[in-house]
Amino acid sequence: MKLVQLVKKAQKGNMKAYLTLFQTFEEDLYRMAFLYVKNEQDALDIVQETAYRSFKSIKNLKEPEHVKTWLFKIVINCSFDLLRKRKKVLPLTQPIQMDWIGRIEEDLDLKIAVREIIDLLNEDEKTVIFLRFYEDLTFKEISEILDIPLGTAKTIFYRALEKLRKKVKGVGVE
Amino acid sequence: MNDQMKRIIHSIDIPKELHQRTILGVSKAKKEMDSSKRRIGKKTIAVIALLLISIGTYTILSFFMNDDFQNTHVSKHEGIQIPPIQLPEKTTVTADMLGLIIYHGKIYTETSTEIEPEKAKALIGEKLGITKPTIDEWSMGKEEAYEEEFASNIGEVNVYSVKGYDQNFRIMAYGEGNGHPYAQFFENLYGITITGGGDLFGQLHLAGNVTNAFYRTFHDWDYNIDQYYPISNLEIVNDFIDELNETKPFLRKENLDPIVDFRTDEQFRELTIELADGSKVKLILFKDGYIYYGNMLVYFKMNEKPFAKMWNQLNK
Repeated sequence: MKLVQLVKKAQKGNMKAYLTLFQTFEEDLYRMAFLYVKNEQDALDIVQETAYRSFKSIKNLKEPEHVKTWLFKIVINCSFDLLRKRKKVLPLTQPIQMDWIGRIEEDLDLKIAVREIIDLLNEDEKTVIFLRFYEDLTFKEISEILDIPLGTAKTIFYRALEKLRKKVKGVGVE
Repeated sequence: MNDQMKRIIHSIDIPKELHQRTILGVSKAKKEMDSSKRRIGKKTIAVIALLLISIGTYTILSFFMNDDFQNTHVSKHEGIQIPPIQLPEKTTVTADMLGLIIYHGKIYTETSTEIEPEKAKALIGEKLGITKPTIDEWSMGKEEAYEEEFASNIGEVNVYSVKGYDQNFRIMAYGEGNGHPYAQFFENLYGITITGGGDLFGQLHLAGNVTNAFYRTFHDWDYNIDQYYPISNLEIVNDFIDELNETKPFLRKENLDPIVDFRTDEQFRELTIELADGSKVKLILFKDGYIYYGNMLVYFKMNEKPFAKMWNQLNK
C-alpha cells in the first residue's frame, strides 16, 4: 500500500496502518537518534517517543506525501528534548561505547569514521550531514525540517564537511 | 563521498527490539486517544465545523460564510454577525470533528475553555436534559437531525447550566463513565453578534478571577506537548484582560486570516489563563496583536502597546 494511503488510514486512527508506515522509517529514525545520543537505550527511547508523538498528531499532517520529512522533524525534536533534559551530560568528547559497533568492528577505518561523525560534529551538523547524505534530502527539505533558511543549511553542511575532511584523513571519505 | 557516508551511517547496528519499541509508542498513543474519546462518549463522526486552527482548511468555513454573508454581515456600527452554523452536505477529508449539542434551537459547540471534572462539580447548575446521540455520519447534512432538542454527537450525557455563566452562552456536559468523571463546556458561538472583544471575553468572566497563567510555544502546541511556561507577572495578565474588552473583531476570511501565516515559534503563542473557579481559558496570540478563541469565526486585534507588554511575558 502506498505511503499516502497509509497516512490517510492512520489519520482516521488506524493503528495497524500507522505501524506499517512507521516501520518503513524506523531504522533510519533510530540511526538519526543514535547520532545524537550515542547509545542504544536512549536512541530506542527516542524512537518510541517519536512513534507516540507522531501517531497522536498525524491527524494534523496536511501533506501526507511529506510524512518522511515530518517524522524526521519529530525525531530531531525528541532527540533535542532528551539532550536538554539531561543538559547534555554526554559531552561530545565522551568515548563511545564499543558494543554498538557490532558487525563493523573489524573495519577500523569505518569505525573511526562513525566515531568522527559523532564526536566531531555538533547536533546541527550531524543532522544536516545525515539528512543530506543518508536520506538524500535536498537543502530545501533540510531547511524546512530544521526551520532554518536555505543558506544556513548549506553553511552548516559545508562547515561539517570541512571538519570531516580535516579530521578524517585516510578513511576514504574524500 | 555520498555512498561512503551512507555506508558509515548504515553501519550503526539496529537493535532487535526496535520495532517492539515502535509498537509500545504507538500503542500508548492509541490508548490515550481512545480514552479521550470515551471520556466524553463521543462518536467519531465528521460533522459541521472544522477546527479552524487547522490552517488552510477553509472547506467548512465556506459552508458558514457564503459570499452574501461576507459582503453584507459586517457593519462597522452594528458589529459582526456570526451566522448560525450551516451544515455541509457531506464530510470532507479536511473537516475535523467538533462535539456539539442542540439546545433551545442553538448549536453549542466544543470550546477551548477546559475544566477538570473535580472542579466542574462545584459549577454544576440546573439540569437541562440529556443529550441524544442522534447526530452521526449518516445524519450529517440533514437539517432535521439538528432540529431536535439535545440532539448531539457526544453520546448520552447529562447537560447542566454552569453556575455563574449565562446559559445562553455556556452549558456543560458532565457525567461519570466507568467510574471516571468527565466534564466539558459547550458554548454558543454562532448566530451571535460581536461588536467588540467585550462581547466574548466578558462572557468568559476573566476579569478579577485570574489565579494562574501559562504559555506554550507553537512547536509544543502543534505536537500536543504539555510543556507550559508559567507567567509570574499576573498584573500584566490582568491588564491584558482589561484590554481584551477593547479589542476589535474581524471576520475570518480565506485570504485575510493571520492564523494562516503566523504558525512559527516566533509568531505564535498559546496563552492559558486559569480562573478561580478552575476553568482554563486558552487563547491563541500572534505577535502582531491578533487573538483567537477556539473555533470562532472572528478574531480580535489589540492595540500595539498593551499587547506588546503581554507578548514580552510570553518570551521568557
